[in-house]
Amino acid sequence: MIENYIIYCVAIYSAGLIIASLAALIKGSRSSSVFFIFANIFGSVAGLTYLFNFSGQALTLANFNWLFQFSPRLNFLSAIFFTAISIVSALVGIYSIRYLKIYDNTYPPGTVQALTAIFVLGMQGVLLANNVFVFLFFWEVMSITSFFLVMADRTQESLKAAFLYFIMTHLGASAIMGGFLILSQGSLLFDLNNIGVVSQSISPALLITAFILFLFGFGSKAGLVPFHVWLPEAHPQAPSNISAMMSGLMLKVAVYGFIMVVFNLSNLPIWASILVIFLGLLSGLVGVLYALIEKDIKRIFAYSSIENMGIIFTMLGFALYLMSRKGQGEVSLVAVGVVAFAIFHAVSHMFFKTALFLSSGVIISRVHTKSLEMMGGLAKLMPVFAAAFLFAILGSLPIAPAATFYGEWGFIQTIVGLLSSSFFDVNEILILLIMLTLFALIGGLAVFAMVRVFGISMLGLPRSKHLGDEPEKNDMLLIAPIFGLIALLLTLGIVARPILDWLMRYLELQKDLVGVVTINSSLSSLQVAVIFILIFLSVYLFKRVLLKKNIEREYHTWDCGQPINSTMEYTGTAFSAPIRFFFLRFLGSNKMVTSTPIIPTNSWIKKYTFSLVITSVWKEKLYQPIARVIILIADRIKIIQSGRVQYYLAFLLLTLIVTLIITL
Amino acid sequence: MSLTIATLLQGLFVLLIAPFLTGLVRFCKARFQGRNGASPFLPYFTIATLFRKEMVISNATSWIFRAVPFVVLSSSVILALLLPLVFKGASLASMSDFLVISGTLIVGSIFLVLGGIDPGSAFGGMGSSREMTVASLIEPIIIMVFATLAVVTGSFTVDGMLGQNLILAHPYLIFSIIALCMIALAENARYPVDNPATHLELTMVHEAMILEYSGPYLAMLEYASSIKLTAFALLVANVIFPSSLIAVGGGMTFLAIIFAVLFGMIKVVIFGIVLALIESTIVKMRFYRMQEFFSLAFLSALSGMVLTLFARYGNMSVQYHAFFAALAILFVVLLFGRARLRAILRYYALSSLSIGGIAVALSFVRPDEKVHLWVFAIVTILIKVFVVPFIVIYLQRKQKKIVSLASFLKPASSYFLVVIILAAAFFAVQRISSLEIIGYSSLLYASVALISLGLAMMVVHRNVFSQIVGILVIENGISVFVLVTVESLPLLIEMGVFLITLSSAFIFSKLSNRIRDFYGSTDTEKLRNLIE
Repeated sequence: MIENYIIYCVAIYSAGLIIASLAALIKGSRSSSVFFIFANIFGSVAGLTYLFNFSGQALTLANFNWLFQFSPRLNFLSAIFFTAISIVSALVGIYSIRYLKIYDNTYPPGTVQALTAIFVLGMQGVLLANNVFVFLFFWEVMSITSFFLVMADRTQESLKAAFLYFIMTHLGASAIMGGFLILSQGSLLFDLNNIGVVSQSISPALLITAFILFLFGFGSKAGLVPFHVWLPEAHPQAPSNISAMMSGLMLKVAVYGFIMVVFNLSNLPIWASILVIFLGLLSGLVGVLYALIEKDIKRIFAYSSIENMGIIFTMLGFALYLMSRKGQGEVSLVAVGVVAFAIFHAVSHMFFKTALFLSSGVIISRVHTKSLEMMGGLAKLMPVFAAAFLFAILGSLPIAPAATFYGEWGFIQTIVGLLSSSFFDVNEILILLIMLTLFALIGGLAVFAMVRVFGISMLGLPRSKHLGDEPEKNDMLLIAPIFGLIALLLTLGIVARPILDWLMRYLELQKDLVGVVTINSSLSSLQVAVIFILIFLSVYLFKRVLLKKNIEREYHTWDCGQPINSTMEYTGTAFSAPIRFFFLRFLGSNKMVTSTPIIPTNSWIKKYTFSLVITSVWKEKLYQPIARVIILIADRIKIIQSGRVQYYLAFLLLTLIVTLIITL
Repeated sequence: MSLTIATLLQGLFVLLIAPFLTGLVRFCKARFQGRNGASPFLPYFTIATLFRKEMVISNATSWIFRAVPFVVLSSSVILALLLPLVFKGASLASMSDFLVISGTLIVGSIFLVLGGIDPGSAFGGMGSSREMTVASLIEPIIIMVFATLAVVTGSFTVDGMLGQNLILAHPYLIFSIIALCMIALAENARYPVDNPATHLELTMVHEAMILEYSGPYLAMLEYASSIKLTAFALLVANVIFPSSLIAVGGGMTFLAIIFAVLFGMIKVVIFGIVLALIESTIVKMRFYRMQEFFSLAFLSALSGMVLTLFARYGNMSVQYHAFFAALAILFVVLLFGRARLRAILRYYALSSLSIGGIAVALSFVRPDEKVHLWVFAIVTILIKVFVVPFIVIYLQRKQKKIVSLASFLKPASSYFLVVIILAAAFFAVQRISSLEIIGYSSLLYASVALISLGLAMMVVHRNVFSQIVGILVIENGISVFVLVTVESLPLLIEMGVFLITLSSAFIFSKLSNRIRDFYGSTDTEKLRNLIE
């Protein structure tokens, strides 16, 4: 009975998305948004029903055997992401109503709304896919719609960014296709449930090749360093609601794909998991360091996404390691706990990253620039939005009682628990110590990056002269979804412990894992939230009630007698100067100050020129040499394009003969 | 019910005694400086006066400026209530998970930082930038220290960690405690990270952020920092003496409460005096040298963790000669990042003293060589601790300016190089012992580590005098190796070795002086240029 409800809801969801996109093209974005929001609400209802009633079982929704054997299927892992994506998309839909109205001469609203609906359809289709063909079809739908969305404003930079994104995403998609073809030995209608079975019977060399292809494919979509170069270019150029969905939702679909595929491959060698851990830690470090020093607010959030994906992949890599090591102690079931923490962190990242990008959209709509150095003073103008943005920033940091805390908390508890058990030898302890240190360092630096973004963009004196003074209540449709996402994050944080236990119970990785799963800590997330709020309220009430008489006087900031303006306050670059100095060897930044005297008689009057160039080390040292080599090879091959038809015919004949020789 | 009462009593105690601690530290510092000093109870009056004053709020600020004092005070009160400061096992004990504690500390720092940026002045921005740097770089150190304690005691909450006798049962935790003290100094804006009594804005970190606050808000912020200092004081004291905590589990008697409060006051007073002593003897570091401070603190925390893991799994009993060997390596590590010749020679002397200590400790383990080892120890101490440094300094005396020995690496990177060298030495020694040529022992590891560190020092440092010290360190390593392998070396050969050390130190120093007189500098980079 309940299954039928779920099936109907999902059917209405997909139909609703298609109608939304058609309505956007025909009627306009306003009505399309309504369809979009309602469709997503139906989807979230379906997902929640499944999670409450059918956790742990796979539910086949329909059977379209004539259409490439498409039978949409919900299992526990995909249902979690399915529900979260629906809820977040509904909130982003509310945001888009006002957002597209503000920007209706930059982004064509109908096209953007239509593409958004199809984008969500693509993401959910990937989650519901049951065989390789459907998976790849919806993956392509997701990639192509987001490609068009990135260049929605049709400027030169967004075209370049979209082009880079297009190349990277198709390289990734072909890698995934290659991996699946290796696993299925050529059949595209291979059912995704059989990955575990098939991987036991293929040769180790093929297994390793498949693993590398999947790592590249899913890793490049998720933003793992060194496959991440498209992320900081593409996410800033897209409209803010699209960046929110790409960063918040699309990256998680890649994480889902990775978990679903790689965790079912059996007999992976140990170095494979160590490679994943290494790439994860590297992404975390690179992401947070570049987030600290960037000037473009959306690039900062994009790098922060890279950092969080690094954290998630480190956890996943460690779970793989636990499953594939054959050591003295049997701790492989702890891997289930670690994956549960990774999924929990992924879901909380969905909420807070979407909230952050939506906030950046609001800020940019007021200040009309993306550069952090031209912002400031917004908290006075928009106090309610400042509260929302502040909570979003606090939610992105691992601070109790936000949900982000519990993912990293659980992981660090697991590491400490494994250190105090005696199952590991010296080399493995080294890995554990390195992970612990880098996790803590990344967490600390992430705090710095987020506080810098909030402080420089919202506080202080306004650095931009174009600060419009439109009243804040016009933008309530923009601010309300942010509060909604924060409420979700707080709720997730309050019920974190029960949800983690529930995740660990129903998550199924491979069979025959041994050990214990639970963490022996009695921290109650509900108690943490309640006590903290109680203490804050008591301090506040104490001050208000007992010390009521509060005389105050307004004056300008203390300035030693000289009037100060916004050029004298700390900029974002200045704020991050100590960290830039301490980590100088890791960052590719180049600072130059030249001073030239103007008047020959007075050498104290000088003209100063300052330049700070932050280059992407990866782009220069890794991608550009590869690009140069490929262009060189292409140049050499150009020789066969001589223009003579006879040569082309001879070439075709040769290719045909060679193909026949190979196949026969 | 008594658990809740215990928590509230502890909170009340900390809240009442916090301003006294701040006043006591200032009073003791004044006395050390030869002044009379204000009464230790003055901060109570200061806070009371501030609550009655008029506030001046800058018109550039938003509501966040007003929210900051409440959040900061709340985070300090949370610390006072959650941590096991006076009572142990109180009602909120299960919440004192170390990650929750570090999260609370960071929230306090975040809101202070936001309060510094809001008025839009350059001083506030500077203080905020520095404070945020300190807070984020302290994070790995806090987590490593508490992770070590969690591994030792098996509990994730600070309350559970202080349940047993830590130092006496696990003496290697001294490194974690040193790191905890450095964290306490950094978090509470004390020397060498920050000067809480400065009036110069360019030297401020914490004070610069609260520059715009006045009246009741300023009182709340000052009170919050006093509470945090008290909480850290009691926490450090409890980690060193966990038995001074009164457990509340089985109910509380009135006598227990009296004792708890008494112990609390004693700990606070002792901590205040020690803190004043520390602040009067060291200088505040320049902010851009903070990475050295954090690298040292992290190294200390990491060594605490590594030694803990060794003691658990390495089946190594705590032997005194191993302890002295660790000290010898530690002093060479400290020597590695230093630039001044006197400091380098001081650490070299201490390292040689530890080697003498190794010999003395070994004489208890191998009683048949007692005389021999004692002679070795005495001659080592005489020659290497006193004579050699004296020779080098004496030959240096002609130079008027301070001899500063630069190196190719910045101090923080050199500490990381040290970590890599120590790890590599460890893996190398494990390979050797698996080849069964010689058994693994801590002395073998110490000798290999000393030799590699001496070699690294010769490579990394640029000054000719540092080559001398590098050779001396290598020679130290070889002498430790001798202690390990050869059962009894004829006394004559050992005297010969000492004489060689003495004369080589003398000859190298004289030679280096000559080089300096002749070529004009001892920097090897400058010595590369060929001259007539």
